[in-house]
Amino acid sequence: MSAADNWWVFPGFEIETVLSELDLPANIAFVPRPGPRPEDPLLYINGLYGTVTVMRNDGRADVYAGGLLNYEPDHKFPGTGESGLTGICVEPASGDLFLSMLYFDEDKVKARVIRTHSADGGLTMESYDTVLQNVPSIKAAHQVQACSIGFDGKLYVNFGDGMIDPKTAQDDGDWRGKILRLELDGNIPDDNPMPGSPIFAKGVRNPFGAAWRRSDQSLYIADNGPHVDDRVCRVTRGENLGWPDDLRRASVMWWNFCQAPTALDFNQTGSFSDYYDDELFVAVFGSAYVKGPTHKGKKIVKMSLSDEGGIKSYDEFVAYTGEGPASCCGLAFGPDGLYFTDLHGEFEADGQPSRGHLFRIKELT
Amino acid sequence: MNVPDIPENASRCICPNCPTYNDCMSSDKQNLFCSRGKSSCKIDSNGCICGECPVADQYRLNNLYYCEP
Ligand code: SF4
Ligand code: SF4
Repeated sequence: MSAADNWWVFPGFEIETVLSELDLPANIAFVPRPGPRPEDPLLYINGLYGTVTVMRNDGRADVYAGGLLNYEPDHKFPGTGESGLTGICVEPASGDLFLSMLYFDEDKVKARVIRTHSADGGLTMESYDTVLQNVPSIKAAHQVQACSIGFDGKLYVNFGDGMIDPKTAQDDGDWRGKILRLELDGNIPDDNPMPGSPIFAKGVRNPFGAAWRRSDQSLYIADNGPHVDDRVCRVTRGENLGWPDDLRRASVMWWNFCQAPTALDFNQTGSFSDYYDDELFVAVFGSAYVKGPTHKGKKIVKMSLSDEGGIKSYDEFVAYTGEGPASCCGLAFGPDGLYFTDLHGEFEADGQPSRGHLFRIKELT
Repeated sequence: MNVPDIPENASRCICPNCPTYNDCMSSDKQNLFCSRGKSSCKIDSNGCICGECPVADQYRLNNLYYCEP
């Protein structure tokens, strides 16, 4: 039996396992314009504990970079183990990766974003530059999350509120609880909403995912609420997205019973048929390391957005039916379907942590 | 909702995985603060993960830092 058999999928689609034996695969980033050769990189996966895997056009996978964390992670789920290397995106022109992660500066936990460089066409990391660093953090969720490149060519970084004091999300002198907008070298663009500040929007709590929608040229994020009001937001320039006062403000939709949305992406590159054009697909993780099917998370949902700023439809698209701790975490559309990762994968073996997978969902024709 | 102090809830409490949980709490095997009340230990707030706890889910808890004096 394949790991893919542990998932139910929406009628008219099928799931297949693409990669196995991944170490906590958290997020997926496709190369925007992959090269034509079989050995050219197609996608990258960041492992939460400091590895990046590259998968080539021919399906072969290798380690692009390892040892990116400067501390020993502790595998405590839920809890301090839910932290590390969280965000990944590919810079379209150079193929460089931007990666967001925690690091220890002596005994202090901080967050940083690095830009990696490769000398072999993107198959291995040769060096990196630090783009942003020294942001206070904690060893748990609510840390630095997704990074993405906007249609304007700028780098956008999602920062959680740091979990200790929600008011940081409203403090314009603190990068936590914000969506930052930066030049690719980390400098602050001249045309940011507040001169001299990297803040693009404020008032977020734990914004795991980011996706850019072509039809309205906007950034959408998945933000996690406390015990209520997980949400999807459309982020507009200079906006206050409400946390800690009102997580429903500026939200496209919210879950009253928290589901822990992680990555999200739009069907906008022809991966699925026109019938699903511009629909939003969101991975909802649920609680960390829960075995078996559960009422909370462990699914992918899809929704179509209305012109009025809400949603018109909502369906479960994928749901876990197995007995293990697998849950949907990373998600991204590729040239031939919707890809997602299951973070913990199936059961641990011989006292070793469980290993995750990369799956692909294809529409049946 | 009140959280009953029963072994099932204590075993599901995730406080020991929390960045705020410290050696003092650990040496006393303290947990289930949402039922038993605050900790006797000195606490530095480093984040609270009660929101991810199955006990909090079941009893619809909406607070954090139950351990804090
Ligand atoms: S809600 Fe918090 S204090 Fe209560 S059982 Fe869960 S982790 Fe422990
Ligand atoms: S009550 Fe909250 S802050 Fe205190 S130890 Fe438990 S999870 Fe951590």
